Amino acid sequence: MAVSQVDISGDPTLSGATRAQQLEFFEAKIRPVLVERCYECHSAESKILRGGLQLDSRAAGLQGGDSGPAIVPGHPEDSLLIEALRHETLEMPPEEKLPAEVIADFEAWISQGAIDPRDEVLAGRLQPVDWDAASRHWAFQPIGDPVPPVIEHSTWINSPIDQFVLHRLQEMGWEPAEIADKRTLIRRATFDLIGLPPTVDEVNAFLEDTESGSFARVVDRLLDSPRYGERWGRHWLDLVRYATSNGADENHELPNAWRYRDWVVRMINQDLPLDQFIVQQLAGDLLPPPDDETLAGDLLTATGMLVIGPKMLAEQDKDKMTIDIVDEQIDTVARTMLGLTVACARCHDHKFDPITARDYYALAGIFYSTRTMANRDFVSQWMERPLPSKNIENQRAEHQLKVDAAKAELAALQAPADDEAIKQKTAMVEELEKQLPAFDMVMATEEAEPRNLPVHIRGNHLQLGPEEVPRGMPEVLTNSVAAPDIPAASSGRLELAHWLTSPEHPLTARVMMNRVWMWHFGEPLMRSPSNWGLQAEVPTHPDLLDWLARELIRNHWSLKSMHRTIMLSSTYQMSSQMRPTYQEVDPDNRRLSRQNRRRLEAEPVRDSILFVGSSLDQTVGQMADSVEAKRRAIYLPVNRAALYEMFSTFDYVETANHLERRPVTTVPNQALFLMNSTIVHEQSRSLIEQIEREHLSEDDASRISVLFEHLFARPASTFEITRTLQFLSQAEASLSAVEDSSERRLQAWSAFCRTLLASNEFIYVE
Amino acid sequence: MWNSSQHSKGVSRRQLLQRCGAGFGALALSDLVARTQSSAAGPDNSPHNPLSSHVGHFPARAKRVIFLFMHGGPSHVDTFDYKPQLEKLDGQPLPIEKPRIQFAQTGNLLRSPWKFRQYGECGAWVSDLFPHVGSCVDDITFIKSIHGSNEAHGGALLKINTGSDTFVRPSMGAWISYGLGTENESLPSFVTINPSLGHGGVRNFGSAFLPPIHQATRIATAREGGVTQAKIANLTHAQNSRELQMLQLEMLRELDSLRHVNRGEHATALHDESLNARIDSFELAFRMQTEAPEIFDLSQETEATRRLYGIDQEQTSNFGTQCLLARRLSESGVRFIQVSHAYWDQHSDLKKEHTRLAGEVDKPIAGLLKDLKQRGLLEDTLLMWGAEFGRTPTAQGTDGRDHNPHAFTYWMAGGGVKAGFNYGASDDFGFYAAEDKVHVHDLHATILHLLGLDHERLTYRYGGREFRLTDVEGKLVQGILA
Repeated sequence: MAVSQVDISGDPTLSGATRAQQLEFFEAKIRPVLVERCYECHSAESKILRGGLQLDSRAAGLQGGDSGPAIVPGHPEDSLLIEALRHETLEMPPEEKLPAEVIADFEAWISQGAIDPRDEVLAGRLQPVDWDAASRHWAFQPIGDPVPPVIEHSTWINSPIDQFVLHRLQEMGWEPAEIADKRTLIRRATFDLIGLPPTVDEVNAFLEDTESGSFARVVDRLLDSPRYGERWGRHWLDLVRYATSNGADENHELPNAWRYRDWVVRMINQDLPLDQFIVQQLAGDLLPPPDDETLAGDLLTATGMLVIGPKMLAEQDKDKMTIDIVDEQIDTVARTMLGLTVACARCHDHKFDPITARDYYALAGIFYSTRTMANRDFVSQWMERPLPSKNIENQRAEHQLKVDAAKAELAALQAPADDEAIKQKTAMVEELEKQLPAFDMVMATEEAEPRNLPVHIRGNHLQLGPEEVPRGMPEVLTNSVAAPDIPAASSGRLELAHWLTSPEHPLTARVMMNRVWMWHFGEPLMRSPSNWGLQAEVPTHPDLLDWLARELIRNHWSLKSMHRTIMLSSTYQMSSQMRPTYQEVDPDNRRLSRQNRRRLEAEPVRDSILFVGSSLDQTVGQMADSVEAKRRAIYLPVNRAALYEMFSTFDYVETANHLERRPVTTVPNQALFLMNSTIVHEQSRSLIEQIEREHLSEDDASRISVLFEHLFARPASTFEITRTLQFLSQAEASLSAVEDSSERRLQAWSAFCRTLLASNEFIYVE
Repeated sequence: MWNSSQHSKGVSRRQLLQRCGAGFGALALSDLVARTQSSAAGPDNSPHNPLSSHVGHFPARAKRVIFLFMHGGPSHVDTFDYKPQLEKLDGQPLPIEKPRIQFAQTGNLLRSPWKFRQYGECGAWVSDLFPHVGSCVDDITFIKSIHGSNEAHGGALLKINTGSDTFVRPSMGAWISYGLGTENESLPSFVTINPSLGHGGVRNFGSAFLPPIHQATRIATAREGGVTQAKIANLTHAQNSRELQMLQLEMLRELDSLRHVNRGEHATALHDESLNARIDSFELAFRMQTEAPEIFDLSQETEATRRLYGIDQEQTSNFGTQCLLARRLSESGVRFIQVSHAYWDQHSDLKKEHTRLAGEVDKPIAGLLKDLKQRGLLEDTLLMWGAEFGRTPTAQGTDGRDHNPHAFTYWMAGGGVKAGFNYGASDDFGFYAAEDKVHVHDLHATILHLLGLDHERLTYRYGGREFRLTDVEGKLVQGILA
């Protein structure tokens, strides 16, 4: 490879003597400076490589870093290295400028061809992503159409899901866990689909329904409940960082964010196909508006997803504010829908994944060409658009007549004779104008002037790359789904939305089904649900995941049909009981030998406590007045700057970022909440009073059992009854200061009820 | 060292027997006294307690931090960064270029309305706004070359508290809690007293992607009013006597064990670790109920101590109380305590309002410093004073100054920093950091270092990569280390 050798070491035309002199010059004047002043941050050995630039080989210097080539042999004036040494644009070394004679040495060295013996190949961190390998990454391959393995185990198999799962268990010689008993099943299904416990009547009805298909009937009943959209809509809201205040710097209320939330709940309840669900949120404003004004309004409302993010409204560098908002949108959309951390490529090519800064700015152009902000004022205002309403239009037209009439009267008056009348009329006109009936507003986007963005060097909006990147899709994914043409006159949002939801897209359906699986099983099949890049683990059941994704597409992206498919499988219905031998080998239950035990999230904990106390207000939609309201949790305000303490205590903490899954922590503040909070005390008392009323003639033993049925969907055992009776008498004794005996009794029972609410059995779903 | 890949491991048979063999009553009472004193007992290695005390990367100079945060941005050129040039050039235009982005337009240079004088053996210049702190300068390192990047309160607060004004990141206190845990298991590791709920709000003391246990426990708030209401949410309830709670906890543990016996899981040591952890958390909560009210009970302090903090005077009583509470929490093993005071944002009324605000904090701050010193706590407690930014040497109106993130002053005392020392300088006017510049990231790196943590090694894996408080920045400020 003589040619490349020459190419690396310098000008081949130089005579031996000159070359030797120049090498000597390099060794004397250049190399020591590089080693002493540059290598700390710019070599393969650097603890942190700065600016993506290495200066420890000739090739690396020629290739340059994030800002472009550092050294252009023969042309010091075009070499960024010289600019930086002179502290012209960049300032290197940052601590102090090198002496003028040293800089002159570098200029001389470069003008003479930058002769450099360091002909090592590019080493270390500058190795670019291996694109061939990256394009073979499993998650970027088309979704397969796997055939469920044939299995001899006819009684357990209820669904193709079971065939995939059992196949993996049989590889180990394992058996699946028993099917859970009916009480466990209905409690699991009810929390899963509506986020509340089953009522005693619902449990009994299920027990009494001995016909086949009884569980399918439970699932259908739950899917038809308006509570279902409140539970599954909330899952989605985690992904798209829903909140009702801006957070960030200026914590302004987002008074219309709830309309977007209500849209999500309604669409989930209506089973809007998930591909449409995605298209409408990205580009509802660009779809042909339906004649029905409610439907037309819904399409606008859907795009609230892009607007509800946190923004630095008071950032005075408004260009930075704008590009930061674009970044926030890319991060949310890419992690939610693509399952990729595209936003990592804002400042440099992605360190692990085949996503380049060009890919990032191709997407950024799309969102930059979309209006999210209404203005760039000192404290800027986000976009809101009026909901179409013929009714309000008519009212406005009618009202406008009054305004016009008043204005005409005003115009007819003559100064100075009518000064007093003019004053009155003017006030009246102003007042009338204020009274003009207002449209309801939604947070929504619209198209801005389309434009392409250049790469921002190191993410800095003041340091732009030389050329604009055409708006488009991440290149590595366009092997499977061709990149759409983006018309010059459009932002490209609609094209992005259609591209994402193409049945050929390798990620969208997989990402979605992996999440749906996680929300049914506590663990996803692929363990990093919002990061499907090269660092992602292979799914525990790759074929099952692909089958589910295909099944979603075959079922016209119907989420409800996928609930049925999953929940009617034996896999879903397994008991969560652990077996010692399996547990030893597979502590994380990756093989799915049982269901997972799951802790309830903040919302179901709170809602269930209100529900069992018969205090849950089940009004649908709109804003609850405050976090104290007894509405379902999804309707409470979500203040990013001052989160409701109960939420943050139970791990609903992050409201400003895409949240791929709720953490499960166990902290004393949760215990304090369950022991001492007003809501727990009130609802325990309310439940106990209700049981006393409804079971007046029964003895304490049966009341205890009824309480267990309310909270755990099962009666109490004999031992539990005995133990509870003992507790109650001890508790009453400790309450001897309470004079009234019936009050004392109620307080003892309430304390017992609180104990049950605090128990693992209440807060975990088996 | 706690790291992010650590998950709860299976419970040992011994632990299991311990847990189930004795009821809560037997276990708890003997344990209660011992464990509330665990700061002396070394790290607890229980796998499920991420707050158990950890050892840092290298020996720590400071074991804990008290951060006095002056929300709004006090003027450095009117407090600790003396600029004689401002006297000379009062009313004249700034002879150097103003920054590209400014929060508001400012006019000509404005001299400080306060007289500066030299204090102590080190001869540090302090204005008449802070005579009490002035009397402590021989214990203090002033850093006069701090600079940040955001000219608005929200962004600047987030920058100081989380290192990022662009992305959602864990706060400094959360990182420190994650890195070191708590010295006292009965208390949270990170406490914030009277924080602002605007300008980034909870993000300023939140845990972002770190486990939520590392977020600050909030004590009172600006909105709820003074610290006299200091409390931890749900700490007690009138109808829950100690005795009744003991009965409940005992019952809770028994019901839970019993259930797993019935499920056939008990005997095989398969009782889910997270379930045990949950029961343990109830016991910790129970201990907190005992310990916390005692710490909040300031009546145990002598009259002399209360006077030292200015609690006996109306003007200083509120902040004095907060400072004293900070000392008590610190003494009890809380790792990071932030005390906020508002609102130093004098675009106008500089003379009147800075006088009032400094009057509220000067004596309590000096009192805290002296008290820490006389108790021998200052040696391993880092006391730090600062804000989100300083103010411009140029005037807004006739009696105001604008935000200035380009140069401002922090001071530190104790915890391994030099005493009676000055580091860095702003330019002649105090507009830009000039000598030995210390960026906010450098400040963070240095605070972590004093606590025995290497800012490049204190990482947490999230969304596919490792994160740090200092992102890809941060240089240790060697010059201030004692």
